[in-house]
Amino acid sequence: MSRYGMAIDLSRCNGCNACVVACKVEHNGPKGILLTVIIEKEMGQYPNANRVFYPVLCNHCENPPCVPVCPTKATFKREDGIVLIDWETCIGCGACIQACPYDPRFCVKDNRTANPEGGAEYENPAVRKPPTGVPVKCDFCYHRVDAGRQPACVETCPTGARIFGKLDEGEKPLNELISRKNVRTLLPEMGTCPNVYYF
Amino acid sequence: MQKYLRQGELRFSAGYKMQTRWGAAEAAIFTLECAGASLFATALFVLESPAAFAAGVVMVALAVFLLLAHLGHPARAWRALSNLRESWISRGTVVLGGFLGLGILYCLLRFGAGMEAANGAVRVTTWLLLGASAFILVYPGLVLSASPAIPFWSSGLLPVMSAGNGMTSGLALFMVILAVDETAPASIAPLFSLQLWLLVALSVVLFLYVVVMIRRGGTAKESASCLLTREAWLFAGAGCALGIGIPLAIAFWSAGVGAAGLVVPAAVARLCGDFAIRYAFLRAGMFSPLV
Repeated sequence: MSRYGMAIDLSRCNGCNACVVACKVEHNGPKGILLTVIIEKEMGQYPNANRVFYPVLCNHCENPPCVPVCPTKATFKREDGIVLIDWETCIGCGACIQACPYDPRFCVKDNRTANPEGGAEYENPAVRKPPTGVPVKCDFCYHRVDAGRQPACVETCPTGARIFGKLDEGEKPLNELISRKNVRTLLPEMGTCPNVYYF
Repeated sequence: MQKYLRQGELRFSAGYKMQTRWGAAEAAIFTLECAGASLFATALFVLESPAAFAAGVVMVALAVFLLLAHLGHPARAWRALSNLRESWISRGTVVLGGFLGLGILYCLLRFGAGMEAANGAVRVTTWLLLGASAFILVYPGLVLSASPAIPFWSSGLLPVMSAGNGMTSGLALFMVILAVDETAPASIAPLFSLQLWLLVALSVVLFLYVVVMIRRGGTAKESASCLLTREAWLFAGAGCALGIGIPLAIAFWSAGVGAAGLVVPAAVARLCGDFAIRYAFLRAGMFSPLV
């Protein structure tokens, strides 16, 4: 079965954080938890200084280190490469949070959203609100992907910096892009083989 | 300005990130379970003391209770048995549960009334308990070294360090029990010699660990330097000076004399040091910068 992946064009990302907000809204993100963030890095020195924005999220790795350490098999990888957490099976031991070098998992201590009234009228009914005591992370918006749509961050990005699709289907734009561009991944020395690429 | 980022904190910059998920609670759990298992195994080897067996089982039971209390969903803890093939936590769950069951069974077989005929069962249980104790001693090191994301923990020396810490703590507690139990026929003097050599071995392992991490470079070196600077009060002060230096000096002075009055301060210092070393290692764990 084809694997899903994402490529991020760093020259297009302007750090507007629209993807961060879209993800938060899509997943009914609890207060203080963002499933994707944009890291800013300053490069060079004046007068040739520059700032690069790195959107980071769960890398849905080929060899996800979070999967084997899970004692309950609550973290699992689907056939299409999307790494998910089964909240009903998770015991909240935190082993997966420690095993991942990318720090995209957060333990939910308080699952109230940022809505000051505390009501659920602004929550996305299509997605289950994360319970407390379990970790949350980016799930590549699998509920949208399964329905033939793009993840919320990809659909929202105003500059088209995020490209999502199947990795091993020859004519797809993502696959072509990865083979054509000089792409890199985060922390390749960890041997996790991420499916999120940067170029 | 804060030098390191903190795990899970929403900071939008790149840099070394301290792990904050595991801390004092985990260090206490590891200390209790290793010292308890070691105390039980020492009693099996040296002298069958009911007080030592009971204390060993109670300490491991307390560690398991704290572990359960620390989980996000303790009621589902039984599910941790489902990934024995890959997860050290799963294997640890089986062994800790087995140790508690077998420990209670052993005490019943050995000291229970009308159980004299069960010699074969006692022998089998003894070997199983020794195996379980050995596993529990290295288990914290195996759990931590299975986290490839934290290079400072990713070392085969970590289980050895954990075992050395646990063995010395268990032996120190066993000497307290022997000193208190006036009917015990065993002498404490040879145990001081054993403790002396175990503490020297632990010091060598700790020294090697830090040297290996410094030579490894990158994030591991940053963690090692954090251990020796930011966490110096915990690692060098409480862990090495209090937890190794004082018991070592007492063991050295008492090796030929067998001064029973010094076993309590030695055990207290050793347990504090055991906790401090484990806590310092947890606090020094950090993730590599993403970019």
